[in-house]
Amino acid sequence: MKTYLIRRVLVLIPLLLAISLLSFFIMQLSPGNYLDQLRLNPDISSDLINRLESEYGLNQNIFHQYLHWLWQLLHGNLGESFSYRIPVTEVIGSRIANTFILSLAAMIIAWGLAIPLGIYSATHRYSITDNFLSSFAFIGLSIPNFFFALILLFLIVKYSLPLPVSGMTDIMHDFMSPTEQLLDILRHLLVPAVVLGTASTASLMRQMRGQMLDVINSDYIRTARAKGLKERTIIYHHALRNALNPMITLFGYQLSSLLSGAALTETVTGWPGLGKMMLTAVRGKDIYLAMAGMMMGSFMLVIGNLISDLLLALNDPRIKYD
Amino acid sequence: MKKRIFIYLILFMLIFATLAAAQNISLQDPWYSKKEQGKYGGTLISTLTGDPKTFNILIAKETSSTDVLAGYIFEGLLTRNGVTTELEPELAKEWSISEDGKVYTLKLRRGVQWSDGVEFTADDVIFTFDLISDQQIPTSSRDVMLIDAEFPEYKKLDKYTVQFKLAKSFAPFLNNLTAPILPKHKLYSIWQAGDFNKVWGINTEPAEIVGTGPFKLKEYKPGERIIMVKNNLYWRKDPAGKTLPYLENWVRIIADNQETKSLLFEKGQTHFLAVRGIDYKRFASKADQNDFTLVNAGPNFGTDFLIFNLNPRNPKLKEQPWKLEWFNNIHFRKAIAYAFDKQTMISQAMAGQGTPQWSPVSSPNKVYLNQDVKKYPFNLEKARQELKAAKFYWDDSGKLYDQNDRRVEFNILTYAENNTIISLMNIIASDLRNLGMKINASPIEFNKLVSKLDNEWDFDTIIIGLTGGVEPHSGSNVWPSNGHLHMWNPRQKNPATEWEARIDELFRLGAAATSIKQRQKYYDEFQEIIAEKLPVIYTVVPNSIYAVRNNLKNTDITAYGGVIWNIYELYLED
Repeated sequence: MKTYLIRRVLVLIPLLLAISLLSFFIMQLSPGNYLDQLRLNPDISSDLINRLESEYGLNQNIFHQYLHWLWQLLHGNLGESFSYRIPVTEVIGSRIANTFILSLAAMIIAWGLAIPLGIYSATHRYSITDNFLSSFAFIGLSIPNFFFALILLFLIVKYSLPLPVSGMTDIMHDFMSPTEQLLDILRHLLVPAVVLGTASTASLMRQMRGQMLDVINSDYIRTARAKGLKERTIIYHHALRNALNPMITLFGYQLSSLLSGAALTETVTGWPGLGKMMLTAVRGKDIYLAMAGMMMGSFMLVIGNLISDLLLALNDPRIKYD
Repeated sequence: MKKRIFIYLILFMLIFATLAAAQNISLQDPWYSKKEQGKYGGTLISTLTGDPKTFNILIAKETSSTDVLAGYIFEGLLTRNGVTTELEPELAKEWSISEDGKVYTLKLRRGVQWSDGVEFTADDVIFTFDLISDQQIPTSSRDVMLIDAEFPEYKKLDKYTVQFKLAKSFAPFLNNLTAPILPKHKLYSIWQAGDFNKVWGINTEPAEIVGTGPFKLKEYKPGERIIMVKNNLYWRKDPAGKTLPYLENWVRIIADNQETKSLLFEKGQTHFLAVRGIDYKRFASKADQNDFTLVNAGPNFGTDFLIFNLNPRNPKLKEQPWKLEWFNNIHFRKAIAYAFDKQTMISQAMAGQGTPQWSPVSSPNKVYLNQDVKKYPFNLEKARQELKAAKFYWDDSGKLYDQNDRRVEFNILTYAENNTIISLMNIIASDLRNLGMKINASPIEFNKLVSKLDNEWDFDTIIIGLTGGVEPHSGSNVWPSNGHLHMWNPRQKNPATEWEARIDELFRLGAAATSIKQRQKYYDEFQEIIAEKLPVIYTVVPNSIYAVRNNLKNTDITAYGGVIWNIYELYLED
C-alpha cells in the first residue's frame, strides 16, 4: 500500500507538468493578451501599453514566459495577477473558502439525495415513484443551472419569501451572534446549493439506479434470495456494496469540482466564489491567475482520483494495491 | 547641567510641535448645498458591476475600480458638474489662466482635511503630480498631461496655492486637473521605497485608504459588497452649515448580472437601478405600486459605429484591391450611411429607448456637441442614387456589381460579448443586402477584434463602441491621423487625405485655443468633417434610464452623472 501510494504520487508530478504546459500554451495560442482591453481605451497611449507589456513580460517568447512561471512556481510563488497587481494567492485566498462551502453543500445535497433515490428507483422499478423520479431526473438534466437559479430567485421575489436573492451574507452580518451568522450563511446558501446540488443529483441518481439494477439481476443475488436472506440484507449488504464501486470513482471526479467553482450559478446568485473570478481571468487573459485556477482544478482532480482508488480498496476486498 | 537644559529644550519643542499639530484645522472655504435641507442618517444601498481590482486610483484602469473611488473617496482639484458637464472647483477654490494660456494658478480650499484628520495642502497636490510624472508608475493620467511629449512644470507658491506652467497654450489641460489628489502623508515613503504600484491593492486594510471625499471605505468583501461610511470631516456643508453628506452609510452590492440587479431592486433592497431599454415597460407598469419613479436621462456617452478599413497597408488588399477602391469612394460610404435604419435599431435592439447619433461627439455632451452636422436619414432610394453615382449597377436579380463587374461583397465584424451590438450588426447587414450587396456578418471574440483593429488591419468593416467624455481632446488618440486608435487607418506618418490633415490641424487649434467659444468653433468643424466624409458611421445610443425609489431625495439624474454624482447632498426620507 505504501509503495503504491508513493508510486502514484510520483506519477502525479510529470502529469501536472504536462497539464500546466498544455494549459499555458493553449491560453497563449488564442489571439490577444491582457492588454487588449487597454488598447481600445482612448486615454491610454501606445507608450504606456508597451511599458506594461515589458513589465508583465508579455513581449517575451512563450517558452521563456512558461519557464519563468514554472521556476517561480517551484519557489512557491504563483505569480502576480495583472489586473489586481497583488499575488495570485491572495486573490484566490479571499474566495477559496466560499467556493468550498458552496461545493460541499451542493455535494451533500447531490449524494444525499441521489444514493437513496437511486436505490429506491432500482428496487421499485417501473413503479409510479420510479417513473416520477426518472422524469424529475430528465428535467433536472435538461434545465441549465443559471436558468433554474433565476427561476428560484424570481419566485422568491414574486411571492416575497423571506430569502435573500444575492450574496453570501447579509449587510448586518457583522453585527450578528455566531449562531445568527451561521443561519444567515445557510439562508444565502440555499438557492445556489440547491441549484448546483440538484443538477448533479439527476445524473447521479440515474447512475445509481442503473448500477443497482445490474447487480440485482445478477446470479449471486438470486442465490442469496434463494437462500432465504432478508430483502434488506440482500439490498444493503450484498447488492449495494457491489453497485457502489463505479459511484466511488465518480465521487473522486466530483472532488475536483470542490475548488473549481461554478461560474454561471455564482454570477446569478452573487455567490463570491472562485468560478466567476476565474472566468473573468481566463477571458481577460490574466494568465497567472487563470493558471493558478487551472492548476488547482487539475491538482484536485488527480488527488480526487487517488482518493477514490483508495476508497475502492476499502469498499471492495478484491481490490488490493501491493 | 547643560545636558538637562538640552533635554528640557527638546521636550518643550516636542510639546509645542504636538500642540501645533493638534491645533484645530478650521475649514475656511466650505461649499454650501443649494438643495433643500435634508435629513441626516440612513443607509443607501446600490449595486456595482464587478469587483474593484485595486484601490490605487492612479493605476486603476477598469471602471469597476474607479467607480468605487473617483469622487466618493478621492477628489480632484476640479470636477465636472453632473448636470451642466462644465468644470467646477472641487478641492481648488478658484483658478485663473494667464492671458497667453500657459500659466494656470489654483487657489486651494483652506482647512480641508483628509479623512484621518491631516490637513490637505499644496504639498499633496505637488506629491500627486510627482506621482503622475513618475515614469515607473503605469498611469493613463500621465499621457493626457503631456504636451508635445513634455510634462507641464508645476510648483507650490504657498501652502494653499499651486501653479502649472505649460510649454504652450493647451486648453485641455484644465480637464486634466480633475485627476484625483492622493495624500502625501500616507504614500510618500512608500513611493520613495519604489512600492507605489503595489500599494492599496484590494487586500489593504480599509482604514489605510485615506481620501478627501464624502465617504470612507469601511469594508470590502470580495464578490459581495463594499461598505462605505460618511467622512465626518468633509468640506461640503448643508444649507444650515452642518457637515455633509447626509447619508450615514453607503453599501454597494456587487452584482455582475442585470437580472440579479433587477431582482434586488424589485425586492426593495436597493435604492436605484439602471434599467435596460428592454425592461422599460415592465418597470414602468410597476412604478406606482412599488413606490419608485422611472427617469429617462437621455442618451448616454457610449458610441457604437461602423468603421471602414481605409488602410492601404491591409494585407488582404493584394488579393482584393478593389475593396479599398469601394471604401475610398465617398458615394459608396454615403450609400451605406443612408442604409442605416436607426429607427428600427432603436425599436428592435433597444426596445424603443434610444437616440440616433450623427456626430463623433457623444450626444449628451452639452458643451461640444454640434447638432447641425450632415444627417443621413434612412432612405434606400437615396442609397441607390449614391451607388449609381459611383457607377455601381444591379443585374436582373438585384445583385450589386461595381463598374468592373465585380460582385459587391464584404464582411462586417463585431464582438460576440455584446448582444445589442450584434442586433445592430444584423439590422445593418439586412438593409445592405436589400441594396444587393453580399454581406458576411459575424461576431468574433473581443481580443481578436482588437488585434485586427490594432495591428493586423485585415478586416473590411467593423462595428465597435467607444465611450466618450466631455473633453473632445481626449479623442486625440482616435481622430488625428497619427493616433493609434485612428481605426480606419491608424498611425499614419502623413495624413492620407486633405480632410484628415484638416482634422489634425483642428485638434491642434482646438487644444491651443483658450476660450471655450473658440474651441467649440474648431470642434464643430471637426464634427462636420467626420459627418461629411464618413470614415465611420454612427448608429444609435441607448438612453440612460434609472428606476429610483421615491424616498431618495435631492437627486439630479443625468446621463453624465447618473444618480449619485451629487451623493453628498442626497438624503433618505423615512
